[in-house]
Amino acid sequence: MYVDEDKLIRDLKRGKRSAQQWLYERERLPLYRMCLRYAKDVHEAEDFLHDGMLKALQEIKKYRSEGALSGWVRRVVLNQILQELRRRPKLVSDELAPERISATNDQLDEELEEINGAELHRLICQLPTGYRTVFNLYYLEGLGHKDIAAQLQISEGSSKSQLYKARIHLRKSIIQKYPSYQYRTS
Amino acid sequence: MAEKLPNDSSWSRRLADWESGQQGPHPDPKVWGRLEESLSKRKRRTAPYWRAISGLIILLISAGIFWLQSDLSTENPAHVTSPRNPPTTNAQEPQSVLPAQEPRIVLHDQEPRSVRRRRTFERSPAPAVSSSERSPVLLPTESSPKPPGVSPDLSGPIDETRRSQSVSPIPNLTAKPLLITSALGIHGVSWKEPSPNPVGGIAAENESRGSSSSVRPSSERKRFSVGFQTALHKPEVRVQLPENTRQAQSIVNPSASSWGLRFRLELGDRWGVTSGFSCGRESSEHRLVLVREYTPELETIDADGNARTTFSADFATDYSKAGTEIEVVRPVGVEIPASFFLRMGIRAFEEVKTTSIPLLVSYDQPLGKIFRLRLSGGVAWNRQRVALDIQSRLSNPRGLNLISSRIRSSEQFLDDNFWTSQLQVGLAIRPNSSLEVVLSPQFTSSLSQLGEDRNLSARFQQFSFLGEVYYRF
Repeated sequence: MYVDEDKLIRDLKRGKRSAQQWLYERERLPLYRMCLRYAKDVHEAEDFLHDGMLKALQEIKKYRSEGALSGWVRRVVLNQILQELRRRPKLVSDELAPERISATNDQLDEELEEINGAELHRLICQLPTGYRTVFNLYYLEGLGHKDIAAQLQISEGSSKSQLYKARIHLRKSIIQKYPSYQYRTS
Repeated sequence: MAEKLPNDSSWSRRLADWESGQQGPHPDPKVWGRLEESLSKRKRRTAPYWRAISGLIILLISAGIFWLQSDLSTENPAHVTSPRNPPTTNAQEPQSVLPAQEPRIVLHDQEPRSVRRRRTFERSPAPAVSSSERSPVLLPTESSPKPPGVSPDLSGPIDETRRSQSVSPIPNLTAKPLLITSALGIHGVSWKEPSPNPVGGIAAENESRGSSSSVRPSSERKRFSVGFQTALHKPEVRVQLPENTRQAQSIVNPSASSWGLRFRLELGDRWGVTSGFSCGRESSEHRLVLVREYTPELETIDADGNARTTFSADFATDYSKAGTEIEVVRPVGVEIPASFFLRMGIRAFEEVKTTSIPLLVSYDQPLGKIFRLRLSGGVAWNRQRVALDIQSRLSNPRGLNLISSRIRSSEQFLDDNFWTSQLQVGLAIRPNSSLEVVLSPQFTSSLSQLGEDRNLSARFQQFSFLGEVYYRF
C-alpha cells in the first residue's frame, strides 16, 4: 500500500510491479466507467482500460509530477480511447445547418437536474457512438468544438451537429423514462 | 488552443462522484492479468533489444575511434607516419634530402592560389662538390648520412641479398586525407498534420481528475528537415617499396573542409529522401624519400660499351601520379664505389575540389521515443578537379643535387565527373520534434575508376564518420 504518492511515482518509474498493480486498483473504477461511456460494450471498455493503462504505465517516465497522477493517467487513457475511435472509418458524418443548431436551447442542466449518477451514466451509454463521443468530450472533458474536431478528425460543423443530436436523443430518453420532464421543459 | 470553460454543472459532478464510487459496474478481474502479461511481454522483448542496439552503437563508436587513432599503414607500418606521429627512423634525413632549395626547373609560372598558400619550402646551401668529378669520393655528410649496411668508410661490401634483386617494382603511395565536410540546408515549405499518436496529445498532464480541461491536438508531423553535417575522414597511406630501395620517410599532411545544402523529405514516419549538394576542398602534402643503392648487377652494357643503370621511383595518389627516372652511365674504365647510392625525394601538393550531389533513401527503425536507427543508401554525382605541384630531386651521398624538377598543373589536371555509391548506418536522436542529431559512419565508393586516361585506374573509396544536426519543419 502506498501512502506516499511520491514513492508510488518513483516505483512506477522503476517499473515495480506492485506499484503498477496498486495504481491500477486505485484507478480502475473511474477509468473503467469512463471507458464505458466511450465504448459500445463492456468488452470494448475493458480493452480501452487495458490499452490505456498499458500506455500510461509504459509512458510513466514522461510524468513530471506537476499535477495529480490520477489526472495524468486519465488523460493518457482518454487519448488512447480517442486514438482507437479515430481508427474507425466513419465515426460521425452528417452535419446540420448552423441556424438549426443555434436555435436549440441548451436546457441540459435543467433536464438532468434530478437524475442520479448511475442513471446519468446509463443514459449517456445508450447514446449512439458518435453522439456519445462528442457529448462526452464537450460536457465531461470540457473541449470546445474546435478541439473535438481536431481530436476526432472531423469538421467543426460535424461536432456541433453530433452534440445537437446527442442532446435531442438524450432528452427523448429522459422524457421516455420520466414523462413529467416533458411538461417542465416545454 | 481555444478552450471551453470546464463543465461544472451539478449533474456532471454527480456523474463523476458515481464513477469514482464503489457501486456500479466493475471491470473483469482478468483485465489486470492481461495488463500484467502485456507489461511482462514488453519488458522481455525490449530489454535484450535495447542492450543489443546499445552494444552495437558502443562497438561502432569504439571501432571508429580505434580506427581513427590507429597507425595509418597497413602494409609497411614502420615507414609510414601520420602528421601527428613523426617518423622515428632516420629522423634527420628528410630535412636534408627533400628539396632544400628552389627548384631549378619550373614548367609553369602561374601556380594555383591554394598551392601557393601551402608551399613551405626551405632554402639551404648546396654542397660544394661538383658533379663533374669523374670518380668522386662520395662520403656521407650530416645532411646525407650513409645508408644502413654501409661501413663508416663506405668501403664495406654491399648486402648480397640486395645485389640479387633485378627490376624494382614501382612504389605506390596513396593517401586518403582527413576530410571535414559540412552541409547546411534551408527549407521553406512545411505543413501540419495531426498525429495519430495520443501520447503526444496529452496536454494537461498536471490536471487533476476532477477538473476538466482541454486535450491538446496530437503532435505535428514534421516533413522537411534542414541539416548541418560534419564528416570526419580517416587519412590512409599505403606504401609499397621497391626492392633494393630503402624508404627514409613518408609524411602525409592532409586537411579539408567543405560546405553545402542538404534537404531531407520524410515520407511517412520511417522513410525519407535526402538530397542537396556540397562543395568541398581538400588539400594534402605528401613527402617521400627513397634511397637507391648502386647495384652492378642491374647494369646493362650498351652498344658503346658503357654500363647503364636506371634508377626510378614513382609516386601515385588517388588523383595523380609522378615519376622520376635517372639513368647513370658508367664509361668503361670508370669505377663506381660499391657504397654509391642515390637519394630521391618527392614532395607533392594536391588540391582537390569536389562538388557532390547526393540522393539517398533512408529508412528509420524507431528505438523508443528518442532514438532511431537510420539506414541510408544511394548514389551521388561528383565532380572533382585536382591541382598538383610535384617536386622531385635526386642527390648523391654527399648531398649534391644531381637533378631537381618541378611540375605544376592547373586545376584541370584531373577534371572528372563520376558517380559514387554511399551507404550510411547511423543513430538518429530526436530530443524533441524539431531537432534531430544523426551520428553515423559512411562508406563511399566510386562506381567507376578514376583517371583511366592517365593510367591511374584508381577507385575512389572513403570511410567517414558523419555528424548531422537537422532542424525539422
